[in-house]
Formats: sequence, C-alpha cells, structure tokens
Amino acid sequence: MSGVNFEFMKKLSEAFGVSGRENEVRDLIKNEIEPYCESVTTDGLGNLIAEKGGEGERLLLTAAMDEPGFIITNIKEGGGAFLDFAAVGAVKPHTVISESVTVGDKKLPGIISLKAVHLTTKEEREKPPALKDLFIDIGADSKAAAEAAVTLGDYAAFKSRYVELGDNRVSGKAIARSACCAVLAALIKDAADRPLTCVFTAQKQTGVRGARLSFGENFKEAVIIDTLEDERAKLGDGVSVPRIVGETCVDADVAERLEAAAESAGKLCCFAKKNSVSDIEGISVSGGGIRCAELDIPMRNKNTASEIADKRDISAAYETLKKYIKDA
Amino acid sequence: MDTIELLKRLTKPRGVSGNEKPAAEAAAELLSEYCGETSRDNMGNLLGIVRGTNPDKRIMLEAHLDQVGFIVTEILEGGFLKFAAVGGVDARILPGLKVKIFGKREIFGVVDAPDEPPEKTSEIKDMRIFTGYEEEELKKIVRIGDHIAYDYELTELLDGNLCSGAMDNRAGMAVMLSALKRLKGKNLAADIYTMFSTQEEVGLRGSRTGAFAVRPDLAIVVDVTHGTTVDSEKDPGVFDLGSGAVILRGPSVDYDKSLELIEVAENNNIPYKIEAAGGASGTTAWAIQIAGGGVPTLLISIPLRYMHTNVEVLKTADVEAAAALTAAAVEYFSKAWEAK
Repeated sequence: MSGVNFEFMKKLSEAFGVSGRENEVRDLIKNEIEPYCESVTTDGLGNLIAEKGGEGERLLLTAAMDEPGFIITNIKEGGGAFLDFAAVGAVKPHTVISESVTVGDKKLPGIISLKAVHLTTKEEREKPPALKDLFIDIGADSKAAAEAAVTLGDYAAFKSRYVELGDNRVSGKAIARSACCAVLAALIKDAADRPLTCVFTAQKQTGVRGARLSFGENFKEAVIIDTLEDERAKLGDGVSVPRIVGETCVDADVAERLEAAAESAGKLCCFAKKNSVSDIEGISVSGGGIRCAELDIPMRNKNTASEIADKRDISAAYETLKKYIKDA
Repeated sequence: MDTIELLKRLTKPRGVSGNEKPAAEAAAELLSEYCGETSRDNMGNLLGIVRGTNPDKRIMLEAHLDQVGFIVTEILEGGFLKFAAVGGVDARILPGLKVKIFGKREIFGVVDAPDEPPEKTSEIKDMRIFTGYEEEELKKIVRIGDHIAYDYELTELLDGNLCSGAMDNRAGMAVMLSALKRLKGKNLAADIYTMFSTQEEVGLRGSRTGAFAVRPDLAIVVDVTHGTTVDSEKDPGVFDLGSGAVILRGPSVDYDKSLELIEVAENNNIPYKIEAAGGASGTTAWAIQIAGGGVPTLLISIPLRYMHTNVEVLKTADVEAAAALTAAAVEYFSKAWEAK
C-alpha cells in the first residue's frame, strides 16, 4: 500500500521527541524506513540521514523530527515538591496550563499548573501567567522524593491523547513534526527511483540547528517539508508553497515546480509569506548553498499540546512531492 | 475495590451540572451494592437507603455528583462552537485545551489557541472550540445547549497522589461508598440515607431540595478543600495533601457536633486537620443546614490541588482517612439513638 501511513504518524505523535532528546522518534523512523534505503545513519547532532540510489541528479528532502517541550531547572518545596521548568523550543506559555506532561526518560506523569482559580486575585486572573509562574506537579510529597525521580536537566514533553476531529482532522501533541516525518517516510518507500537524501533533522525548535549541518555535496535542489499556521488557511484546502520563509527567500524555480505539482493534485493553497522559521534557513545556506523550496501543511494550534492538521493536506503533501520527485 | 479503582469508576463518566445522568448511573451501580434499590428525585439527586433499627432517626451522607464544565451556545461556520462555563472555571487553562462535547454522540474538540499570548486573559465568551466538522455535519451532531466536559483520565502520580478531572467531588462520593462498605453489617440504629446531589457547582441546588425531602437528624457532607501548592503555601485555608480528613468548624456546621467529630477522629487515630470558615463553606453543607426545619450538619473535606480543572490532584490516603472518619462518625452519632 502506498501513501502516508497515518498509524505511523500517530505513533510518532505519541513518542517523546523534544529537541535534544529525539532518540525515540529517530528510532521509530529508522525502523520504518530502513528496508527501503541504501543507508540510514545518524550524525553527530542526531539528524537521521537516509540515502536512496537511482538514476539522475540527487535531491535533498528534509523534515524536522523534534517537538517543543520543557526542561526541568529546579525543584522547589512548599506543601509538596514542584518542578520549575524552562521552554525548549517554541512553547506558547498561554496554552500550557493544565496540560499533562511526561518527565524524563522514565516518562514520569506530571501536570503543568498553578494554584486554583479560587485562590487568585482578579489581577492575577487577568494577566496570562508566564512560564516562571507555573510548575510541573509530579505528585512528589518532598524534595527528596522528587530528587529520587527527576534529575535537573531532564526533559518533559506534552502528553496528549491523539484523537480524530471530524472525518479528516486529527489532534494530538507534535502533530506538525509527525505529519512531516510521516510524509517523508512514505516518500522513501514509494517515490520514483532516483537518488534521494532524506534528512530527519534534530533541533529545529531550538534555532534550526540540525539543518545547519552538511548532508553532502552536489544536490540538484532541496525541498523542506514543514507546516504553517495562518488564520486564513482552511484545513483541508491543500498545501502551501511559500516564497518567503522567515527571512529566507526560496528558490523561485524550485518553488514553481513544486507549486505546479501541488496544483496538478488540485491541492494548492497559497500563502506567499510564512512568518515562522523552518529548516530552510539552514539548508539553503549549507555548504556552497542549495537551491531550496518549502512545502507547508497548514495547521491549527501549532506548538500546543493539541496541534491540529487535516489528513487530506498531509496526503496532498505526499502526492505533491511524489509528483515533484518524478518530474524534478 | 480499592480507592483508586473506585475513583476511576466514578470519575470516568461525565456529569456536568444539569446533566449528571452518566455520572449518576455509574454511582447508582456502586451504591446499590450497599443500599439495594436506589432512586433519583425531581432534581436528579441519587438516593440510597440502608435501614437501621430505629426508624425515627436518619443520618444523611451527602456528596455532590456534578462537575464543572461548559455548554454550547452557538454553532459557527467552519466547525467552531461558542460556549459558556457551567460553574466556576479558570479561563486561563482553556486556550489549547482538548474537550469532549456531548452531542447526539460524543465528539472531541480543541479550544482555539491564539498564536501570541494575549495581554489580558481572554474571556470565555470570546473563545471558540474547533471540532473538525463542517458546519452542516456539526449541526447534525451538536445542538445549542449540549454539554461540554474536560478530556482527562485518572493518572497515578508519585507518593500515592492521583490526578483526574471531576475529583471534585467524585472523591467525596468515593468516601461515602467506602464508608458504607466499612459500616456494612454493623446493624446501626439510624437509617443511613446516602445522597449524591446535583447542581452544586451552579449554586448548591440539588442538596437543598434533597435534604428537605430526607429531613435528616444529622447530615455529614464530604467535599474537597484546597490542597497546598508552592504558590499557595501562605494562603489561608489550604491543606497539604496527606493532611488526612479536614474537619470544618464555623457557622456552616453544627458547633457541638463538629467538636465531637474531632473527638471521634482523635479516638480512632484518624489523621485530621481543622479548617475554620467564618461563613459559607462553599459546599452543600451551607444549603443542607437550612433545609426544611434546619439540619445539624458536619463537613469533612479532602485536600485537592487545582480545583475545577481537568487535572485535579489529591492523595489516596486522604480519601481513605475521610472514609474512616465518616464511618466512625456514623457509628458514634447513631449510638445515641439505640433503643434503650
């Protein structure tokens, strides 16, 4: 069967993949794609690099595999022990209160919270809390109990049930990176026989770090699979090929062919400028420079515990790229 | 059934104020184990009776059945819902939160999360829930007035602490069921009326009519009180998880009997703390006390963190202490009514 494996996407979503601790996601992807690749390697930062052979010039395709999360910075006492934390990546503080998390490699369950609303003043309620006003509660009664379970520097990820919203939409944590990685994994399985280097990058969230490494020379061009959030985008209307991503101008020629591929699938929605950054910022200037374009899957509630995407758009990204690879 | 299993069964079905049926049905099954038949009155209060030897005396064990939630107020284009709160909800927790919508069938929704933090906390009336359905399809499933509840499942944290939605006040109900288990076969003088009342979160409503109908000689109410967190450590009226049963003193309860309750805890080596409230206790005790001709009322509370959220946290041992105290109190007060 060809196409995006949504069961695999669900597995990716449920796996722990906070920037700097992507091993679980990386292992899942490796297992999924290994039979279809000539080589699958992990580089010094944790990028997963899959090589496929074939006829023609080599293409570079990338998708980030990390997700926003938290890192434990302090244990404090007061009616029990509570964990201070800092953001890892693009966390939205106003969306994390009352969300569940798993802490550390042992995946200790915890919740992000603050004191009950009944105990607050009007002033406190009206001002959205900052991350420093919040803490993670793992149920430890004492500092000693917390210290036995958690080491400062342990990561925490959202824990969120993966659910279907209506007939086509899905919601859960890390849907954005899971969708992009599932598309890339499906392409590795199904795409036309031509040389491909597919990179699942680490640490996009912390400043496009994985994508700044070199993945080889002599690529014809590269496509970055990413997501976008735009109030004007209607989920299900298709994928977008931006011309400007953050401060990076994409290669117009690659973008036009990508657009044509999306259009032929009847799945193009256009947002010329995307404000958030992506791996294109690194890939486009890596080595001697690579001609790059980006394909974006529209999202809602990006970087929250319940990101939302449309399976039709995820499939459209796959169809678009499959056609693009064939024609490139 | 241990306390955790009992709480799992009680918290799983939702029961937003005014629509307590799913929660009541699960509770009725558990209650019938001790009371045989159970019944629901006009307000939806669930009632079960264990008969005693003195038909003139009644003790009412009361815990409220409902939980805070939301109600659908508008169905919008693009699969969005507008909603209002049912009971006291913290708007700060809502952006990005997953919820369950109880339409013709149960569907999920997610509250819109603005990209940028707002300068001032958004009001619930300005928020929307995205359901993923197109408007036309959505209207076939959801009607205005349908209830919305948090999405949660009971999770075990460290040190015997548990996290779930609706601990307020399924924990109180667990206490009553556990107390009935402890009292089984004791052949007490008083009839024990166990009442799980509706609509507490919207103004102590079910308990008011329920207590009028039962006309108890003594009411023991179990509810939750605030559990300490590091940011509320210095606030008055918060109790560390692990405090045991919290016994209320003040005008919301009977002065002498609350002192006797403290003695019962002492004599039975049940861990307890005393809470003092100068007026309303914020619980059904306040309503029951003035039902009918007035009811001598006692209040036992369980410390609970993050009250009215989807992630309320309590300690199993506190639920068990409250159950031990409730059972001991029933035995103690019933003794006075034994036939001479």
